[in-house]
Amino acid sequence: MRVALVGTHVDVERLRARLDESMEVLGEFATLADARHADLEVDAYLLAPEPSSSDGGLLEPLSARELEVLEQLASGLSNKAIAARLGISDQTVKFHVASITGKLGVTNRTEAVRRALRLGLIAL
Amino acid sequence: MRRMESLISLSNSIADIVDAVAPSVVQVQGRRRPASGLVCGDGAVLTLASVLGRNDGLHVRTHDGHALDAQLAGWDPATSLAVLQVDGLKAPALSPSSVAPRVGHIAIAVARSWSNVVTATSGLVSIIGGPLRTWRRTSIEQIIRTSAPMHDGFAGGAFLDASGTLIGVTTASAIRGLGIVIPASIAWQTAAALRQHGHVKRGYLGIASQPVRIADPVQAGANTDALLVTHVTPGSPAEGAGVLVGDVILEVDGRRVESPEDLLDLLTGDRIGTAVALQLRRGGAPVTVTITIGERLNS
Repeated sequence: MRVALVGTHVDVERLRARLDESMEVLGEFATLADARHADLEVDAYLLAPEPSSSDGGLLEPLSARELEVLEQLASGLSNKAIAARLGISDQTVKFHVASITGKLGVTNRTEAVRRALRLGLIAL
Repeated sequence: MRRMESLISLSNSIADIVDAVAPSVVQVQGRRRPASGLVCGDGAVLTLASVLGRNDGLHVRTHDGHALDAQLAGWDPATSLAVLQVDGLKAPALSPSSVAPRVGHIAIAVARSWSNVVTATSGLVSIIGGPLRTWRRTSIEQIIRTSAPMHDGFAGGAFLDASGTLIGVTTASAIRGLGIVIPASIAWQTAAALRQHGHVKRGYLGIASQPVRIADPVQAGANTDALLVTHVTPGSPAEGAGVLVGDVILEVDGRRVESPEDLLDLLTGDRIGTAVALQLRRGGAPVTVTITIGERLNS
């Protein structure tokens, strides 16, 4: 069976680990809309379950400061540049980024941005 | 005999191309498995954002095996390209080809293996298409796809034409078996912006949204994906245009938006300052508002 995997990288990796050999993965996408756009000849889209609560929200909400850091993160800024803009230390930014990725259940900043976008946490 | 000589000559030419580019292709060690990067200027390396971890600090290993500290200069959430600042990097910078690649051209992909040795594959420029929504949430105006096989380490590698000139940045992702390559001209443009400003200019509306499925306004009985406005930032272009929480956005500037990422894609730098139409459903009724796209991070 040919499939496309849909979800954040971490979720998809978890899903991938559970696939058996009969599944041929043709692509990996952040959203179902993306998967459809790619127009692959797949038999199924497999949606990776998200590790947070069942309604798709977060188990622990982001603080106001974390949301502020997240906005800057979504602009592609480095930690250093975020620190300069918000007038806080690099170390504090590092701490916030660790907390943000932890709460979003992701491991890096690119996944954090994707996840937060889908949750409506970032104003575009 | 002459035939064999021409084959040997072709083979040597390819090896020469790989030799020539190798010093400008570095290994990038981020949080995950090592990938590749291209020297794109004085002490600057272009790579893919997928190699980045939570923090700015990374390492780059050069052709001669030296490990250097690298700092994230900035990355572009729309293209997934990232630029690293690497002090003490002496390697020569590459420049993109000014000649447009053609489908059918022979191409060579060059990257770093996990042990930092040079690795090369070859194939054709198989498809030039786009704009295409491709791997891991990325939208790029034009995408090259190639028959050259590429493993994980090819993320951020060089894609060269038969003259040895850079025509793309390899990604190690594939669709239907053909590896995805970001055209060099687009990559270098992004790199220049990241090096200069630490970010790429993006448009801004001031809308946070979540995907929602509603009844298709055109096709009876069908559903369509749209964006539910969940927050309007005070003082933003969206507030000025009268966008309300609860509005459902179907189209922006004549293009369907089915996810927040679609909106992100539309907010390109060249749209800043332009007025666009937002097709909305407000309480089920169609409403059109005109909004002038602002600039993200203009402070």
